[in-house]
Amino acid sequence: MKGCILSTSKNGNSYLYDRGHGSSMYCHPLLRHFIELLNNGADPEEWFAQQPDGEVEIEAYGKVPKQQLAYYLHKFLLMKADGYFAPFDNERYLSGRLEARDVELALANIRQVTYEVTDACNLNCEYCGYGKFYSDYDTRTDKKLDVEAGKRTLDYLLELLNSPLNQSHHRPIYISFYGGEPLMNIPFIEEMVDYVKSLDFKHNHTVFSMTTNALLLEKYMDFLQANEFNLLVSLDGDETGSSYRVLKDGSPAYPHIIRNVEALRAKYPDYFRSNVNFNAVFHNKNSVQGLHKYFKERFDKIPTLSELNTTGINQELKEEFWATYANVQESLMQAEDYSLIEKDMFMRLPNIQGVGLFLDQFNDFTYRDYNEFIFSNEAPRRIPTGTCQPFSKKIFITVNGKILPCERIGQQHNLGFVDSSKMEIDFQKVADLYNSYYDKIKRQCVSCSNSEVCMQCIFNLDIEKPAPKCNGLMGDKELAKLLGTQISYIEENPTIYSKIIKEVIIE
Amino acid sequence: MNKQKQKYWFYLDSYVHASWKKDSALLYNPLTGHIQEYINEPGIVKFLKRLHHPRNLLVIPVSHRELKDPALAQLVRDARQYFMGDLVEQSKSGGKPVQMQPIVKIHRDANKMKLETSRSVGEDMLKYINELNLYVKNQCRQTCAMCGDAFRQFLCCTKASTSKRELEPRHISYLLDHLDGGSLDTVNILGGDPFSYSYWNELQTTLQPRDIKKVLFCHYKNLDGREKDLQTLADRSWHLNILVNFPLDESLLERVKKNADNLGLPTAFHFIVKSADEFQRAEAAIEGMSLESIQYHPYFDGTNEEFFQAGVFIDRGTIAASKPKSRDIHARQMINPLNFGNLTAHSDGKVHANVNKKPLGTLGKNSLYDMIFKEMRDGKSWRRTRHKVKPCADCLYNSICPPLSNYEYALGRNNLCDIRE
Repeated sequence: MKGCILSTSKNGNSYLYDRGHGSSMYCHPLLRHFIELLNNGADPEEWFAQQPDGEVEIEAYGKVPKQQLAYYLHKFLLMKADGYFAPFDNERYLSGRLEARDVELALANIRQVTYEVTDACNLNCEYCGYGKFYSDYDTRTDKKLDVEAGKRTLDYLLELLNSPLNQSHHRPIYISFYGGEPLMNIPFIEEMVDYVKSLDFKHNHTVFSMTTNALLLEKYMDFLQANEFNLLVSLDGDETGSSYRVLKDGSPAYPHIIRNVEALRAKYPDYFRSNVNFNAVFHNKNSVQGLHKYFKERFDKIPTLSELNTTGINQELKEEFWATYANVQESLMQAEDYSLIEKDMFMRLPNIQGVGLFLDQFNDFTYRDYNEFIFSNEAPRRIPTGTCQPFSKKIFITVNGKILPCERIGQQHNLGFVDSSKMEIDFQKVADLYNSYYDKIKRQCVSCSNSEVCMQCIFNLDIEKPAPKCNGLMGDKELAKLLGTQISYIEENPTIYSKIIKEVIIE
Repeated sequence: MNKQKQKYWFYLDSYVHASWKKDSALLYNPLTGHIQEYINEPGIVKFLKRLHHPRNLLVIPVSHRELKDPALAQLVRDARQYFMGDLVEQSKSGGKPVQMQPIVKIHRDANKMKLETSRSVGEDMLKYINELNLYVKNQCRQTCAMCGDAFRQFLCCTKASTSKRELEPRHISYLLDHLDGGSLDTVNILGGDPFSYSYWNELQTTLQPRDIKKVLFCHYKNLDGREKDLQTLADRSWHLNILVNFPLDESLLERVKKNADNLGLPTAFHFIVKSADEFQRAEAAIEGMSLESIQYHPYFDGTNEEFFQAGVFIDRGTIAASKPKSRDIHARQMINPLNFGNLTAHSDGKVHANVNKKPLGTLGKNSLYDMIFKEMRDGKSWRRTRHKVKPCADCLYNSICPPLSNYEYALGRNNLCDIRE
């Protein structure tokens, strides 16, 4: 694979990204010329020797004295001697494998335990992930998660967390409650909170969190506030924006949500300020501008925005789904006070996230942790795709006791089970499963130019098919275009560069 | 276009390291090792600051008229001559380009983690430990003059303690059990005389199944007559580091070398020298015995600063010759690469991030977690950089200079150089 990608910004400026160094930089047009020669299979030194004395015509640049070209050839050769432009061995780079030990270590260092406390919900939102548009979830039966299963999960994890396999100290673990609507199973939550408090976490402290539609917020707000829950309230903006949020009888949920939220804010203003945030599902009835204005003016908050999940769509309702779907970036481009929205929403916006990802992944001065300094001489290897290593972010327990690596993937991908008596995860089986999926998709990954920063989750592909297809497969041209887009944004908004570097922290 | 009316973008290359203090500045090119220094050049510093402004991102517009400014003209000339930057005609682009300004960032920066309530400075901290030094015993028959303090300058045996101690096997197991899941790469075993460690066999059993490099540091005189022990080491894939000091018993050293060779034991010879004379005698011995895998360790005995000034102190030429890479420069701004991730446990159970600092705690009394958390939080050893000590904090070279070593502690000064007083 070519070691160097050349891209062009909207202003027509050239940039190079060198895979071996993992670095991007502005590239003088005449230096670019030599890199292009190399990328096209020519020998730049040979080419230069063949040029006549005097002036040389360079495409898209003009006539250049040969002496001036000699300078850029020299620079090219200096960089080449330092390892720039060397072909990139993508096969070797993607030769990482998951081991059983990795699975065990991830569990011993778990960051978040999420319980699907019930699949019951007091709303009937049109776009719900467990609704008409989707098909890759267990049938909803208004079931409640057995509290004993919840406790067995913690017992199992605590043994690992208190073992020498835990590599951290004083690290928070988030105990999160999810649904359906989690507040419809408050007895589970209350009992689990008490149970968590009774446990002896030697190296961690716990933080409770919940995603809620807020319909029962006023009823249980004393409990939530007393236990310092971090709340994420689902609200899609004003009455129109939230019109997909409906009660079981089809009537708008908005007035009820607002009444509950305002009650919480009135009784616990400090808690509301510090612990409550909003998530708005983005669709055809709201807009970035509208959401920004609404949440800022009404609650002095900046919401996170979630686009509708486009995987696992029920084919019969494909058309209706896509009529409901909307794109945050397109909406942002239509906003009048675009700059203010960008300033306020910052990394909540996909275009800024794109720049953040570019600065993080395509440059050689950002590091995940200190070990990247110590072990820097080794040629890096990674596992194919952007799939999180199992349990590296969280563990998700479904209402049926299935164990999954997160709540965003189909529930058929469970990695173990928990019930009232025990929890079972076969580390080797999990590793083998993931490796078998990687092996299926790897042929495509090896030819993908985006392999170093892939964000594709294998569980969002049809990974169980014999030959799953990744629609994110990218050639050099596509990657160059993507890099050009991010750099163009920085050219137009240079101060975003240091703002992102100074303020953004990625887990 | 009339050259007088031509406008340019002047930029620095992304890989260039720039630093400035008051009216002086430095540019360094890691591709070539070239250092360009500007002393008392406020004009140059002014342009460097302008280049590094967040709005400019290392690119500024310059006109033909502005290029007549002597400071700018010199900066541009030097940048081009030494491949650290360039001019590009504005007519060749549709708008101002940007450069990827190398602002070093670590997502798990300890100072940031301390401020984030949802994070911890102790996140994955045990994974940082890559080298473990275990002083298993503090007794030895030898009477080396350097015994009490050489170990504070480089990895060396010592019996510096008033009481006879041995590191308890349970403490060793405790350490290894916790570090196995991380980045632990090497365990160095030292003494006193490590072979006289009462739990020598148990130690071997503990270390054997672990996927780490096992290295024994031993004074050459303690290796005489130890063929059987050396055989065990060879069978179990150990590495042997032989410490050699003066006065030198050459025939003994030759005997030890022969034994090690016969066993096929990977061996390195560490010569401890405190004068030019000892250095020359070491060279002669090495040549005479055809020794391979050699390391020299200058030893400061309190009276030989002249030897250090001649052989250890660095100058601009030494720094340039070492050609630190961009990653080295980034690392040196954030951590002490010589020390980061090193942990030393003495025979009395005291644990150090650096043996020249107070212990982090004692095995058996303090948990490893508390000890490492303390170091991560306070960063007195692992994150001790030249930016934090005088006079290096005020020096242009502080990022390209080699990291602080233990010699700086020994000599009582941070600038083992002729660059800055």
